[in-house]
Amino acid sequence: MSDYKNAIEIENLTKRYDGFTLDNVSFNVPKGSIMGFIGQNGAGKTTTIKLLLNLIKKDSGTIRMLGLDNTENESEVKKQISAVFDEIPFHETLNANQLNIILSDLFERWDKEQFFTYLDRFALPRKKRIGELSKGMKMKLQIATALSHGARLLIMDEATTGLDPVVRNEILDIFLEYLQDEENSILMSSHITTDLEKIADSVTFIDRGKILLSGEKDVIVENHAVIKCKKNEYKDIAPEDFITARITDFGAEVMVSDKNAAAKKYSGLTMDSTTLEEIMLYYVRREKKEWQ
Amino acid sequence: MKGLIYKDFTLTKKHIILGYIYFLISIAILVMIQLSMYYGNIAKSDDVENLKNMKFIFRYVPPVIILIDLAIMSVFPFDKDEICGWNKYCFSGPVTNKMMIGERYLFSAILMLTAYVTGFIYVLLFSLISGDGFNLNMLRNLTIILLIAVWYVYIYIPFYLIITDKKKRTVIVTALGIIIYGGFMLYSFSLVKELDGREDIELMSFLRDKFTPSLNTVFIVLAAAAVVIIPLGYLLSDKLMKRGEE
Repeated sequence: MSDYKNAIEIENLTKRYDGFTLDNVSFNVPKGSIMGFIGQNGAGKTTTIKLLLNLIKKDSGTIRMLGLDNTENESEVKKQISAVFDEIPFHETLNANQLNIILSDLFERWDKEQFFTYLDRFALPRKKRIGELSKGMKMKLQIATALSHGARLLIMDEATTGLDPVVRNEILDIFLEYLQDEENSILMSSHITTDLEKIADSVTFIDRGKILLSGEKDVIVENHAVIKCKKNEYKDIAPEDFITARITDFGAEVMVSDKNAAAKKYSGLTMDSTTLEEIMLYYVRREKKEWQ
Repeated sequence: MKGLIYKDFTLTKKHIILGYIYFLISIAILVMIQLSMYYGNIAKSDDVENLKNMKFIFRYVPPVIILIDLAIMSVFPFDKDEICGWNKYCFSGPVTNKMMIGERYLFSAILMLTAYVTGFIYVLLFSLISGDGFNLNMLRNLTIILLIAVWYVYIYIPFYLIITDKKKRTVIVTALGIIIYGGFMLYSFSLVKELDGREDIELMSFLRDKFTPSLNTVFIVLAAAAVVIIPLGYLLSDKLMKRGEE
């Protein structure tokens, strides 16, 4: 089972709904890495994750997880993965002790010691009802359960959304620790790109059901740049050389996807490095070449 | 599956205790009614018919309460699982449709059997205290109550999965309840008409004598139908159980 290169391999994945289509999605999450899965709300992140977890049926395409087909080998795959959702999926009247009893039966490789170690580390009370915990504590509890049954792949659906920066940082540190074992991998869907800038090795950007970008985060960020110029200078930039341009009262900010080529061609213009958030912002407006 | 059953017990623990409190309250109320009848001179201790009727009510009303109560409680966790996202969590892990449905059937069966055993012990004790002794008809009557509970639960599970909208489900269950209750009331009125002008027989005695001979048939029909409903409901539920919104 460890003879696989990618923890997740998605090829031509399609799922059609009324008014939305996840359209021929393909990307890989290399083993031992963390991939940020970004896109605005309704872009198709959660649909993709539901398909990965086989919670909904795909119309076409293939999904391989940990080297195995996710539907043909569902039981084998699911023993080795963990999903973390934006809302805690446990009953509010239960407590951590009771959760330990329940989950130790569900997961073959449940590690009680590890679970209680995480509870202590996160300062989570064992006997307090889940409903009485704060949002951050609930998320930590969910992550503690996800990391306590020897999962080789974590799939996170907007898990850090709505958490304060201190808790988010704590959680990100735990993910980095988890990745110390090179057999472990993470797919982390989020629209908080700053978190992904910190920890992601690679990024896949989805918008309106289509993958726009997928690859190493540093390469993506390095290749993109924003040209800041006056309106008359902007007119000299060929439309095929940029993604979109933001027109302001003072000039234009133009997103290019090939920084080096643009630097050669438009050597007189100022070029600023960019962030994932900016890239996302420009790409989602790609249908209008100009915006304000 | 043990973990899932433990979860459902933990979630319903308080309601199960409440069910047993209702059971005890029903016994207390019956005792009070009987005492007030004698002390209020409504009934006499040598009134054989009244005694027979009261024993019948005493013997079966508390078991009906505990069995129906625990049967209803056994399906109580379904909504809670759906609302908090537990089902989604389970299906994203190693839990299969069969496990999920199997656990629901098993949990309901455990609760109903617990109630049945409670009812059996109660009927046995009551029969010994009242001096009637225990006979197979009592066991049959108790089993009829169990079979009604089984019907309710094992029809409700697939029904719950077919009608996923809670409001629709409530409307349908209420409508069915009104139809069944209305039908029962109409039938009761038609029976009461038979009593018109007869002062030699009490209503309870009349009903008891009317239905007792057909109880064997009722038992066989309910048991035979349960044998079909349980596996059919399980297979149907397995097919209907959705993991997420398709």
